[in-house]
Amino acid sequence: MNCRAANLVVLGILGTVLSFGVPIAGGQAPQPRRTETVPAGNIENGKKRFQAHGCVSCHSFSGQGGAGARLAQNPITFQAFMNYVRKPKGSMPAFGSQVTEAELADIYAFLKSIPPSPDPKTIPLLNQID
Amino acid sequence: MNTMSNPEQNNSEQNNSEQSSVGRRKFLQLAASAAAMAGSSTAMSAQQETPARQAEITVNEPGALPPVRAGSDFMLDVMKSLGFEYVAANPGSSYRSLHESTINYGMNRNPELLTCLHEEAAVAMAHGYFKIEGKPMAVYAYSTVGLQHAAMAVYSAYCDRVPVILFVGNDTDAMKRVSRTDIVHTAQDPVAIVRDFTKWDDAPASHGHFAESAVRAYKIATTPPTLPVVLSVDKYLQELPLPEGANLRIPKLSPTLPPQGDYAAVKEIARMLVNAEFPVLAVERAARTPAGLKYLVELAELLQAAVVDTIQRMNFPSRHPLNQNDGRGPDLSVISEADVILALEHPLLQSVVNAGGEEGSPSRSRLTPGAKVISISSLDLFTRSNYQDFGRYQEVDMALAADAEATLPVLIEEVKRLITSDRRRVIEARGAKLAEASRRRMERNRVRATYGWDDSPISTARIAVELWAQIKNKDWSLVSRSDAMNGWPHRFWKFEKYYHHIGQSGSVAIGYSAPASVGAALANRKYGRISINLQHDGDLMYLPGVLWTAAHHRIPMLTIMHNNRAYNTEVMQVQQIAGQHHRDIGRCRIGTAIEDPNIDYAKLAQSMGWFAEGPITDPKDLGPAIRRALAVVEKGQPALIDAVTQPV
Ligand SMILES: Cc1ncc(C[n+]2csc(CCOP(=O)(O)OP(=O)(O)O)c2C)c(N)n1
Repeated sequence: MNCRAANLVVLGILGTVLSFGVPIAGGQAPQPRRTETVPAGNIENGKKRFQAHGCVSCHSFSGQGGAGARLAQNPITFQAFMNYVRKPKGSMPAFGSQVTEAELADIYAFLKSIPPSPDPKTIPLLNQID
Repeated sequence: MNTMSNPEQNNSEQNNSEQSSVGRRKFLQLAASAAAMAGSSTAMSAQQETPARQAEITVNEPGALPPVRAGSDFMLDVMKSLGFEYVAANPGSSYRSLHESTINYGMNRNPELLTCLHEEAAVAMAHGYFKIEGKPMAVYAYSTVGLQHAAMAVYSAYCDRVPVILFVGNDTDAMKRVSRTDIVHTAQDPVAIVRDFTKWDDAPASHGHFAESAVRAYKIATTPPTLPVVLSVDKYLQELPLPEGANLRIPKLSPTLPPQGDYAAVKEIARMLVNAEFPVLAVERAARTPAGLKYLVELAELLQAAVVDTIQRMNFPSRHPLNQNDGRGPDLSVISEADVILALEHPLLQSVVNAGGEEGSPSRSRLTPGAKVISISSLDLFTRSNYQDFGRYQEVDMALAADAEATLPVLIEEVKRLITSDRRRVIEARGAKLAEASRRRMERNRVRATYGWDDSPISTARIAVELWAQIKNKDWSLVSRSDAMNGWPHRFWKFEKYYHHIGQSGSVAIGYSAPASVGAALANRKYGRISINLQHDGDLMYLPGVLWTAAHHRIPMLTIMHNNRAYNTEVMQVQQIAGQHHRDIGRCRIGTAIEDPNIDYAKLAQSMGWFAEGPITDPKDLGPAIRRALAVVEKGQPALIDAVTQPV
C-alpha cells in the first residue's frame, strides 16, 4: 500500500469510528435498538451486491475489514448502516442512491450472516508468534 | 534479436534496420577495420560467427595475434579497484566494449555481469542490493534508450538515498555514428534526463579522466546523503586501444567521513532529551548501517523514548516495546504527548508533526504548545529543486546539518553522562507505560488476525502468520517492501537485525519491489540467508522478466504472491473520486483490475525456471506449500507461491 492509500485508510477508519461508534479493534459495540424492524434480506444476493458495488476493495470479501472497517458481525442498526453507506464520513465514497434499500437489506443480511471469528486462543499459530 | 531466426528478415523494411544483413556487413567491416587498426581483432563470440564474418576476417586465427588492451580494459581495472561485486545490465552497443572487457578481460568476476531484461530492473536490483550489502552495485546502460528505461529506478534510488553507479555508453563523436541505431541512441548530454535526481555526473574525455571521475563518482555517491551518480562513457573511448606504455594511473579512493553534528549543539540536545517528560524519536532513514540500528536502540532505551519509525530503513526492532509502528504506519498520537521530538534523517517531518493536509484540507499541528522539535539530517547538506521529495517545509527549534548515524555515538555518551538517579526513575516509569501500550497493541493485532482467518481468498494476516511460523527459527530477510501485505509482517515478525528488512522504494513507485527483492536476495545469498519476497501482483507485472534473472543467476528466494487480482490501491482511489462525483462506484475496477484473464503466476514463474505452486485459494493449503517451497529455496533455487488474497 502506498502513502496515499495509507491516508485513505486512516480517514476511512476514522470516519467509521465516528459514525458507527465501533472501534476497528472490535471493542464493545452499541446494541441494536430493539424497536427496529430490519427488512428480511437475501444473504446470497447480499454477498453478490457487496462485490458488485465494490465494497470488497476496502472491507474484504466477507466484510472483515482491510483498508476500511470491519463490518462482519457489526451490530449497528440497519438504519444507521443505510445512512452511513449513503452519506459516510472520511474517505469512504458516498453511495447516495446508487444502492437501493432492498440491496442494502440484502448486504446487511449477508454481513450479519458471517460467523464470528475464532478466538485467537484456538489458533495455535497465533499463540506461537513469540 | 538473432537475424538468422527472424522470419521477417527479407522484408524490405529490414533494409533500414539494425538487423539488416547490409547493416550487419557494415558492422563487421567496421569491426575488421578497427581490428586492423589495432593490429588485432575485436573479440567476438563463437555464437556470432557467420559465413560473411568468416570471409571478411580471415586473419583472425586464434593465437595468431597479440591481445589488444582496450580502453575499456583500463576502465574495468578502475571499476575493480572500487570493489564492485556485480554490474547489472541489459546489453547495448554503446557499452559493448565495457561489456566485453567485463566478461573476457575481467573474466566476469568482481564485477560479475548480471543479465537483466530491462534497464529499470537493473537499477532496482542495484537499489535492493545496496540495502543489504551496504555497498553500491554498478549498472551499465545503453545511452539514450537504456537510460530512459532506467530513469524510473534511478529516481527511486534517489528518493531512497541509495547510491547506484551508472556507466552509460554514448556515441559522442558524430563522425563515428554509422547506423540509424548509432544516431538515435546518442545524445549531446545523455545524463540530462536523470540529472535532477542524481547527485553528480560527468562525461570523461580521456582514460585518465575516466579514472578520476569514476573514483570521484564512487566517493560522492557513498558520502551521506548517499545518492545515485552517472558517468557518460564515450563508446570510442572504451573501444580505443590503449597506446603501448600508456601511463595511466588509478587514483586511490579516499572515502569521506560523514559529518558529525556540532558538539555544543549535541550536548544541548542531550540535555533537552534527558530533561524531557516525553521525548519522541522520529526516524526515517536514520540507520544507514547495522551500527545505526544499534545506536538507535541504545539511545531509545537510555531515554525510554517512544520511537516513531516509518520503516524506510531497518531503524528499530519491530516488536520493541518502544516502537510505535504497529505495521499500519507509525502511531502519531505520541507526537501530541511529546515535549521534545528528535527527528533523524526525516525529510517528511512536516507530515509527522502535522495532521491532515491530505486532499487539500488544512493541516493542523499535532504539537503541544512549547514542544521542541530538533532535526539531525544530512539532507540539509544537499537539496535539489525540481523533484519535491524533500517534503514540505517544517519549522524546527534546532537543525543540525550532519549525518544522524555519525552523530548518535556522541549524543549517547552525553545522554549517559546527564542521566541522574532522579531522571532514571522518571525514565523507567515512562518505559513501563509504553511497554504496556505495546503489549496491548500486540493483543489487538492477534484479535485482528483472526478476522477472516479461514476465508478464501486468503487474508494477508494469515499469510504473514503462516510464514512466520516457518521462518522464525531460520536466518531470514524480508526483501520486498517493508510495508507489504498491509504491514502484517511488522505486527508479528521480530525484525531485529539490520538485514531483516530493506525499507521501501523511496519514490512509492510500483514496479520497484520485484527487482529490488532480487537484488537484495542476491546480496543475502553469500550469507546463506532465506530471502522472503511478499510480492503484490501489480508490482510484479511491471518487470516480470526479473524472475528469469533470479533463476538464471541461481538467486534463492521465496516469493509469496499477494494476488488480489487488482491494483487495489488504485481501485480505492477511483472509488473515492466516483463517490465525490456522485457516480457509479461499482465500475471502478475498470482500468484497475488485473483479471479476465487471471494471471497464472505459478506458470509465469515456472516458465522462467522457478519452482512454483498455485494458485492457492484455500488457506489450509498454504502452510504445506510454504514448507515445500522453503525446501527448494534452501537448496539454492527461487520458489514462488501464488496465493490468491483478499484485496488488502
Ligand atoms: C510507477 C508507478 N505507476 C503507477 C503508480 C500508481 N499506483 C499506486 S498503487 C498502484 C497499484 C499497486 O498494485 P499492487 O502492486 O498490486 O498492490 P495493491 O495496491 O493491489 O496492494 C498503482 C498502480 C505508482 N505508484 N507508481
